[in-house]
Amino acid sequence: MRHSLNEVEVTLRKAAVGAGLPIGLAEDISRAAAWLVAGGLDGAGAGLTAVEAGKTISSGVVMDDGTVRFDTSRIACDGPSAIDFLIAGQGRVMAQMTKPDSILLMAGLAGAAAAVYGGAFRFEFDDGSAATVVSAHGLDPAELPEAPVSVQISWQPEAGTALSTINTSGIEVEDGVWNRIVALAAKTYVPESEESRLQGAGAGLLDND
Amino acid sequence: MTTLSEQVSEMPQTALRSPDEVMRLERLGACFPNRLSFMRTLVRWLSREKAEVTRPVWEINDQGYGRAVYSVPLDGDVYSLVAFSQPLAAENRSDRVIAEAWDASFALFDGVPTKADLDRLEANTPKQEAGRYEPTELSLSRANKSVRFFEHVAGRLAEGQQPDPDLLNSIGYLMRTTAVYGNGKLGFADRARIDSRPAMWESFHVEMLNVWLIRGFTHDLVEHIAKARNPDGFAPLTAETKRCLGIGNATGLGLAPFLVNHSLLLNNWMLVRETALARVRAVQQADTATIATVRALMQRVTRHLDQWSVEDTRQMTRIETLRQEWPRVIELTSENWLSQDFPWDRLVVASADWSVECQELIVALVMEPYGDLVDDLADGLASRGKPQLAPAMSVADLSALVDQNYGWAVAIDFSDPKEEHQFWYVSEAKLEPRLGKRFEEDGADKESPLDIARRVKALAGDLKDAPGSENVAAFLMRHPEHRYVARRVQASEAHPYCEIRDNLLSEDCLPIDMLRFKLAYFGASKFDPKSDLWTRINMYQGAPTFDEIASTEADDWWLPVLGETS
Repeated sequence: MRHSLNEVEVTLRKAAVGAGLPIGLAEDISRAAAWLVAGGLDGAGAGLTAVEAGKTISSGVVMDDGTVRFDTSRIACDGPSAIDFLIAGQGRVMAQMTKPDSILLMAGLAGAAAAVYGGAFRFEFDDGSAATVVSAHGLDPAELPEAPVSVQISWQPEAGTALSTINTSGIEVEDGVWNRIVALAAKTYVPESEESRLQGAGAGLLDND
Repeated sequence: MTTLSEQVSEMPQTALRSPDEVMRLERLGACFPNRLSFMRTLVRWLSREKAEVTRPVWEINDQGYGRAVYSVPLDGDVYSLVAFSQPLAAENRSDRVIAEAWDASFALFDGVPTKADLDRLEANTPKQEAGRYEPTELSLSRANKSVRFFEHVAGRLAEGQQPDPDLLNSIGYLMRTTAVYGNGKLGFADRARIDSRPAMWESFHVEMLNVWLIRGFTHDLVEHIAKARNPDGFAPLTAETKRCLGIGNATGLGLAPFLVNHSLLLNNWMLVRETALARVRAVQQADTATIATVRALMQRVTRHLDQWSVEDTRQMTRIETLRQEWPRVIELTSENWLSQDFPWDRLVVASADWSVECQELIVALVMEPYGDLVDDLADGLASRGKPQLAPAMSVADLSALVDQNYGWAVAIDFSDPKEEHQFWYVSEAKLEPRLGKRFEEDGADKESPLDIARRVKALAGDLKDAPGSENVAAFLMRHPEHRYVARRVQASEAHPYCEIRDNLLSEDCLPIDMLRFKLAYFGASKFDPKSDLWTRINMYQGAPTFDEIASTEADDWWLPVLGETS
């Protein structure tokens, strides 16, 4: 079924919270997914993969040279931290991520960050391939390796490009993926009770005037 | 287009009122519509363009059921209201979000719909949240009749008479909307679709256009039914009666989380209004015509207050206080008093002796005659931005921001149960936002993140234990639970009005204050609280109708008054 960009962002944010992630990380994940969707990519699927991988305590370790290393890279948890360190490091540090669970969502985090901070994020994979993510949509998923590989990411502050026209027609999301997102989002809803129905919002009366 | 900050610095102005003063719930809950309210800015767009509303489809039967389309060109694009009217059993009529059927349902369509579009929308729009929509749909809404008044008006018109003035005043609308959705909900268009259109860029213009067109539909519908009953003796609504018929709205808790979740937008709304006020306060000499305009508006305020009566005790007490204070405002502001230097600044200063509601009414009043001074600020009302993290900031600097802008939050004693008395949540019943009592009800483990003050206090505690030289990136890697609120605190540095400066969990927090504030920004008036959790209002009462929108007087409808031709 086709879904709007806003539907993907809002529902995935709730799903991330439903999966146990703090709201601040959920915001980053859903913004990254929205950036991917705006470029016509499978942000919903990428976001779900990362969210379902589960919350972990960040594995990040800051090395003496300023490089931050994530040994068990859960993108929902470690991805935003990796971006933080790269931005804070002003192009002088790198992030090393071991077999991230969703490299596409990591690219989405980089794209969403580039839209805010400018610059370009360079992904160098340990299979020898490489990709560059800038704020403008145009990322070719074929540039990203399919098999889980480790990646070294750097940020080049001066290398950005302008925003491109974004997809405003929504995106098709496979029903199975969407249903799993909705199920996680539903974990943030409080079951109906008679008391909440009558006292929690509005009046309990029939507005029949 | 200039940026908001550029606009802010271009004109003489006094100091802005402090966020500590204006961002308190009590003051937000005393807000009045002003000339920068969204309905006003939209009507000015429509009026400037001499918008002509057409009705290409009218397939409504004698009982008033069927479908209709209204189209209006605006700034190079055409927008169409697609309306469906259907029978509704009395037992199914409810203004709650959890309702599943309505008297009428609407979609605002981008362009002019084809028959296939109409058929598709007819299969979905009456189902509202249970339907699915396309990117050609910009906004979705539904409305219920004010049954006793709708039938009264239809009957009177069929008899060749106008509605009873007392009923017209006490109700003031034929239908009331119960939700107006936008921005990508249920599959319809994302905001990005219209972001490049200046007329739709401003806050809530899509939704406000939807409602203005619905109002016209209700006028046509009641006339159509009356005429069908008595084709020979029927009388149409007079222009003045039409103008007095706005659109009602029943608003619950859904608006409150919006203000917390759109903090930069909240900042812009407040910054624009406070800047407008500061520009007006900086006017050294008011000319004779402006003084006359303000004094005439003061008389209108008197009549408006006389016609504004509600059952809610708290609001009625405030209205009665206003009725007592307003003659003193008029008495003070003689022509001579207003002819002296800086009349509006002196009036705002003098208003400190009166109620907060009176103070805020004066704020809206003094802006009214100064369109040439403040209307350009409307460009700054919108915001597509979201708070962003500054990961290089030091812990010491983040702590300083907490001290500077969130002292009100850190000072709250959350060990006192009354400070955590309430919790906000989303019910699984149609995802209705609700408010629970923490120590009496289940569900607090799924609390919505509106607990800003509590989160800031927790952040402040952990910041004390972190090295001051550490950057926020490192701090948040250890404390991802603070990421959400750290972003907000950082945003407050450049967006001083981004936060409601009260504890939204407190026993003393009245959601109705948040609803009143947002609805006033929409341009609504005659707030009619039905509890602390929801209110009725009237939208577009007194506003130009389809026939009047091109008139040069189209902007003169601040605070509607029955019996006054604007």
